Amino acid sequence: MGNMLTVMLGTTAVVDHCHPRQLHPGGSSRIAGHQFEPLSILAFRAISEHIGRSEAFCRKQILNGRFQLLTILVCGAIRSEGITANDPFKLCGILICGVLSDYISHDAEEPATDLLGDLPEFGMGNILNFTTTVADHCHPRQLRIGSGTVSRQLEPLSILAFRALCKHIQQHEAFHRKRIANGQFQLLSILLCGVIHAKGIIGNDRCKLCCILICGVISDYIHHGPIDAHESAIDLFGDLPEALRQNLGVLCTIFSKLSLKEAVRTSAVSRKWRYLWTVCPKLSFDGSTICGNNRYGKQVYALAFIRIVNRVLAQCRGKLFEELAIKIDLNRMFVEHLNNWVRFAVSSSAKTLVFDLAPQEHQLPGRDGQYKFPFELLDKDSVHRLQKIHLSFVDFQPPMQFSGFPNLRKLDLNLVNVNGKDIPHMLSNCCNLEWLSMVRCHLNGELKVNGPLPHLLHLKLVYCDVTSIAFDTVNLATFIYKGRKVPIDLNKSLELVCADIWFSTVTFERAITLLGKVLKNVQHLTLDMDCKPPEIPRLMHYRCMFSKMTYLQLRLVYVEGLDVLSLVSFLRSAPFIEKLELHFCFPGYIHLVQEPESIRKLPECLFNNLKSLHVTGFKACTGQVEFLMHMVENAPALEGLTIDQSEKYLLEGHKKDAKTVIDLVHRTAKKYLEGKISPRCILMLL
Amino acid sequence: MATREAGKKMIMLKSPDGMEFEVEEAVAMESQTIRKMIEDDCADTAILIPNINSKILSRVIEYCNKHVPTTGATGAAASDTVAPAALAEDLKIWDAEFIKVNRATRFDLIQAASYLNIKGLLDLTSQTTIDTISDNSLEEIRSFLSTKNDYLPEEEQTIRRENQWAFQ
Repeated sequence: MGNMLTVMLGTTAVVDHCHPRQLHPGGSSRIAGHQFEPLSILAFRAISEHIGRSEAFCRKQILNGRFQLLTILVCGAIRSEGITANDPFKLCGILICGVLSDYISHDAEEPATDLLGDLPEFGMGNILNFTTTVADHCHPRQLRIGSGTVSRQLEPLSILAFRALCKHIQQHEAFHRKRIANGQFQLLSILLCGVIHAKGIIGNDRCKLCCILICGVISDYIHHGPIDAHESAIDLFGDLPEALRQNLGVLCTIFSKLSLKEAVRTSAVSRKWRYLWTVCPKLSFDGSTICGNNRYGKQVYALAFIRIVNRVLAQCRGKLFEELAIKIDLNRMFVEHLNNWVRFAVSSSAKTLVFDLAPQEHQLPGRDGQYKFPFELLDKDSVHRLQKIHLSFVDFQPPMQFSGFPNLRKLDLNLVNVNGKDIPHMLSNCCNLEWLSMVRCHLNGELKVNGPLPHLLHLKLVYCDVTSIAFDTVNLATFIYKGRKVPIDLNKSLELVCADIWFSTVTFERAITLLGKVLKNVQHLTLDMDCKPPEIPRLMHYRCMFSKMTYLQLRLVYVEGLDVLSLVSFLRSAPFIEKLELHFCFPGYIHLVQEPESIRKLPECLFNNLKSLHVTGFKACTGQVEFLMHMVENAPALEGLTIDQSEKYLLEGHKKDAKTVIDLVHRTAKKYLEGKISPRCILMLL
Repeated sequence: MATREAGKKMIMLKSPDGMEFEVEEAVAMESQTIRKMIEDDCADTAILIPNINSKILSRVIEYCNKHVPTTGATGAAASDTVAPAALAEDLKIWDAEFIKVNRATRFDLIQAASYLNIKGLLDLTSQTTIDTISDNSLEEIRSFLSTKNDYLPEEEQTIRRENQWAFQ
């Protein structure tokens, strides 16, 4: 029993030295029940994590990363040796040998051979020969000698391990637990753990990994309870189709496409599937799909959600995940749990964090109750690791010295309480940002981001109450802005091709001065505005402002009358457009042109490239008819003209205008267009 | 199909059963694994594809052949005449036909797609498994995976209780 205690201490020491997620697939009781299943996953995960962090492994020789090679290697070895599924120890042994031989054969510069001393180098295919050789080279006596060599303290350990593995492999038989219990394996494990306990683990990642793997096997055996006579030998992935069995990557692909609910459900398929779903890279909890219909009121619903999330996360403890997503109406009792879930995301190395907590109700409550994002829970690693953050209804206040998320690619903030001073500073330091969206995040000041964001492609600012905007983004491709008419400085964004702008009440003249500089190279523009009539209606002659623009969509709301001169003036700033869509919206009643009125003819200004013109909300009022005539006369290449009397975009609270007499509108349009429209152009009246 | 032009670089792929397949470099590079090999200049002579027999490999090449013009940068000229939407539709039909294979072949294809890292093919081949798991009862999933329910009734009960929400 005394020995047993040493063993336990030994494993504890190892566990303490390792990151918890490398060792604990969910507590020892589960290992006891299904010992090799989590173990192998664990081993794979330990290896892959080390690769991911490039701590121990950073050699270029290996194609597609070591892990893949290693897996192939292991699978190859299994196949060639004809390992049966009932021989888990053998598989594990091969796995470990794979790691070691991999070190040895791929380590040209480093003194890798400290693990196995003076052994000659081996080729990749020689795992089994190699282990045999190791075994032959080591006489039992060497073990004692080994313990005395301080500089190579782990040498006896690895030799021992190899001997054990090798022996079992040579025996070509399954590892029977009864024999372990009394046999030399137990002695071996005690020895190993004793060595580790006495010496501690030296600061060598390779040895550490090796120890983790070996001790994983051993502690597994130690923790294993009384042998159940009925329990058949555990085959690793059992009845899973061969293709899946050999490849966790495929399983990940499959699980990543299932919803969490569907993935969790597979745990009831069979024993082998019990925990397989935890390879699922995304944990996405959506209140509406998880808790179903809310029949019992808010509090019960919230409690149910909390319980489910906590249960699932408890089963996933110690595993790595790509993404954690929580979507639920925020409730006061969530705060503590949300903090715990952030902790989970940190410990599981998540790269994506989604907290969508906005209440579904139409009437949004005050912002006081927002969840305060716990920056203090993020350690340095996770700040570097996070690639996507999506927050909704959260108070997001980076601490004073916070220097941004250096690897953040996507930041999506909706209804987030931000500080006008901290956010620009933080964004300046998110130098890998590709996608930024801020919706209803009231900045109440300027948004001036000084640091260059060379990777930013997409920028969206909607109702953020900014007074001015300035970004240094050379590669920006899309820009979406909704809000007040404020100065925008995107002067360095010469690649900006797509823009979608909504201004509250503004004149065309003002709009063009605001946008002319920003959108120099824009090809597609959607401009949405409440048109304010100019003080003096006149035809302006802007120089060509939008020389690259080919597609223009205007959604114009006219509260007062339509001023055709400013509209045409605006179009003249984009002389090369090919496609024009105009959506008129008149909240008030307008007069149709019923009697021949004086339709003005505006001075010629050709749109030689214009091929398609689409007008909706056409009520045949004087301004519209004047505009239509002007465009038709000045677009010699026009191929398609669509005139739709109905309104495509309705203002909120306005019903469709039922008074418009469709026939009358069509007749009027036809009357004025007759003879003006080229025979090549297809006219559609809707 | 465009005829093979002189000057197009060809790559030789070898299956472990000794068959050789000569394919255009662009086709072979649909596989990220092979792309890496080519970029790292590891592909001077023939590339041996371990674990994938000639029958499966030829199917994989067939898939890559079909899919190369739509993803390749040089495909623009060829697709000028056909609307992209129609082309995509055509490809979808072709894919549906391609995947009409027996179970064993499909799992072989999954494995090949995974090893060769061909995302489109992996998505296509694993879709059936995904659909089966998401749409069917546990009993149907078991029969699809030819797995027997080896839980004791009370064990299964415990598991269902543990994640009750997923079974509602």
